[in-house]
Amino acid sequence: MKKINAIKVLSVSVIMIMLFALLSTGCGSQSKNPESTGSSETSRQSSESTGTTAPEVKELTGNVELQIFVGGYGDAWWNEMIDAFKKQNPKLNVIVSMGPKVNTQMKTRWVSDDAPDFVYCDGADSVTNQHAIDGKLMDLKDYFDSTQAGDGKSIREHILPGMITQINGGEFFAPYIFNAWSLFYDSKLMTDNSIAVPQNTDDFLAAGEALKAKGIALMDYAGMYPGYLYFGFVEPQIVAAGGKQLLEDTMTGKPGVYNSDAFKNIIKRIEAMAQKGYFLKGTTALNHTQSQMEWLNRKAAFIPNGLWVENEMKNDIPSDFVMQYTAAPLRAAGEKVSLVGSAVSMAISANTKNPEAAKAFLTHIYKDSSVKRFIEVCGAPTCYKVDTTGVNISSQMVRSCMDVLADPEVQVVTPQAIYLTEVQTMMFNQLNSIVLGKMTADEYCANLEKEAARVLASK
Amino acid sequence: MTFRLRKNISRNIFIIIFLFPALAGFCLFAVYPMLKGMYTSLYNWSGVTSAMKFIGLRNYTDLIGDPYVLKAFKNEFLVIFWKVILIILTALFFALALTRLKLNSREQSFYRVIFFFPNILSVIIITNIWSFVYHPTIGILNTGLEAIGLQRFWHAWLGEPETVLGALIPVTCWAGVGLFMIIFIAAIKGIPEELFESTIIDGANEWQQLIRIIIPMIWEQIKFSVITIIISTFGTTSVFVIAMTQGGPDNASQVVGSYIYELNFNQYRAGYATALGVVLFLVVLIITGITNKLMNKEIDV
Repeated sequence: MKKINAIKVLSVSVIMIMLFALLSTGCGSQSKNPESTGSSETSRQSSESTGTTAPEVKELTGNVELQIFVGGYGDAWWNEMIDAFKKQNPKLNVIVSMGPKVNTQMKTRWVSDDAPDFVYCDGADSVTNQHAIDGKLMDLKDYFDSTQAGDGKSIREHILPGMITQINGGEFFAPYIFNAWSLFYDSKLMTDNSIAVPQNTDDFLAAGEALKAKGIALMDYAGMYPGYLYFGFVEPQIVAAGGKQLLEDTMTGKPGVYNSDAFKNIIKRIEAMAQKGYFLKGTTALNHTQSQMEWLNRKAAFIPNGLWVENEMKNDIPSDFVMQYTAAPLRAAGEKVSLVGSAVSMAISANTKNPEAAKAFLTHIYKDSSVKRFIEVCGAPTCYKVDTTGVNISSQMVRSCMDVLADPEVQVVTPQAIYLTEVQTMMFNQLNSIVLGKMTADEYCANLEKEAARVLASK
Repeated sequence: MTFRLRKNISRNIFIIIFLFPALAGFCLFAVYPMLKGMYTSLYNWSGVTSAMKFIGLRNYTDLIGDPYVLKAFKNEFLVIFWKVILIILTALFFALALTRLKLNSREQSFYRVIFFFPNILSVIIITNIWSFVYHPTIGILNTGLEAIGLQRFWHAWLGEPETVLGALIPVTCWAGVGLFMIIFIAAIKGIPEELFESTIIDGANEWQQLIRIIIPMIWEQIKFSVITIIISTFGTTSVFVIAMTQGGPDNASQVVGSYIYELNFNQYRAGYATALGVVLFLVVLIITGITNKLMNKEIDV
């Protein structure tokens, strides 16, 4: 009896040890790069290649790895692009890591300087300015200047002015998808309640009163992520009041900017909206999908958001909901309608072992045909200018957005500064306190002044 | 002599073979990250790339002046305090009900399953369910209050600084009670029946039985439960906060773990976050030691 038990126990422990060994090697093998053997070939070959200006006659070989996040814009367009690229470059081994969690999966590779060659910078945990600041992204300045688009002009000339940002003098992000946070609404709700779309902040507050009488909130937002309110409601007003300079000053913490009238008046407007009860009751408790559901259910008329919202909520939009985009309420009478343009961009790793192939893929998606296809498939404006006649834009919302962008009276500004992290966190968080009536606009601005001074002093 | 030595060596090897997997796992997944964390806390590191700059103890001096750290610890201690009280009382109540109330075995196992069920749910499911319970417009709490005419108690439970912690604490308790109820049931069942019989003969009622017999006899389990709750709360509360409120509104529900998460993943200050992690570790160590000392009681039967 005893002998049998001992054998049983020993065999179980051996199995445990083997399992444990398996697990630990399983974790370790991810760090081993299957493509590292391939890329050593390409580095020998690519070092023989000449400059970047020649169009795609040279054959691409070796490996190139793409990190593609799949989110609100889906994966259909990406698959089209990748398939076409593979066909054009039969000798190139294109390794694709695609999915909603790809950024988190690749995070450790970026930390250990073993990143994929090409990355689409979108989604949670994505490559951000921080990677550029840390020197892990390739400087694309020469690429923008020297790479020819189909019509003989350089890529830079095709990109909307101001969209290419500079960090420490380098240009690390290739802007692709255009975004400008603003207000979204349902034009059916407005016409049903006989309320005109507000054309300035005074009209906006008046509309709030009219909507309140009908039991509809003027606005709701994702209380759990107050950045939505800041980007979609506050920033456009900052640009309307003081242009790019004022916005950049609020980002860099210029002493006195938060107490300036231009900035403080915007916060006072939010304070007034809160006091008059124009915010949806309970909005500070909602996450982004919950706030969007309340808005789709017509409990609130306006919501500050980004251009992905239609795609994100496409399964829940009521069939008679006419989604529209506007920035008109976000300026005082007499000021210009303003938007803060930002880009969802592509980037190339600084340590890429196949820079030719990575740049070739970037050029491939910057082709006119590729950009037009993106607008058709994903329904979003792009930073790369193309002639959109003949492009099938099915979404009313996207068309209303493009109308706003095409309006010469609208100023679209892209700041060249980067936010002070701690100050931005406080800017977002304190908005909830204003909306709840726990903080005054004076306190909001005074706290920001103090925090900015503290952060700048400690640098 | 040599035979005994050989037997000892082979027995020791046998013991080491059994200890090795768990010890190796512990070193790899607990000790190594701790040491690495202490190392990175001396650096200015964004957490997303390999660029690190040595800054010595600067992170720790910054921690001292950070008002959010103080707020996080305050919230943390509040949550622990209420969690200990609520869980111990509720678990004890359920355990007593299920052991002393002369229920038949079918009823007993039915209630045991019901009360233990939340423990086996994953945290994400729990936070999802309760986020909808607390939803300001469609949540069952607010609509229930309105249905019975108590509209004046309407709150955006997770969206107001006064109610958010009070809303989070019951969720964490609900998730944790089952385990301690089982522990107390086992402990109470271990009390010899003769003790009760002798006190009943002396004329003791239920309440006196509780105070004089049950609680002293299960004191070790109560102590174990208190310490377990305290230690586990430091880790688990942050998950509930991150999933349900993101620390908001305006840091009203921020606890230390969620602030570390925010610093690391939203603010790209990984060095600073690990320094706070080291401080948290020391705080937990001290508190556990104090609690242990305070709860050491000699039992006179």
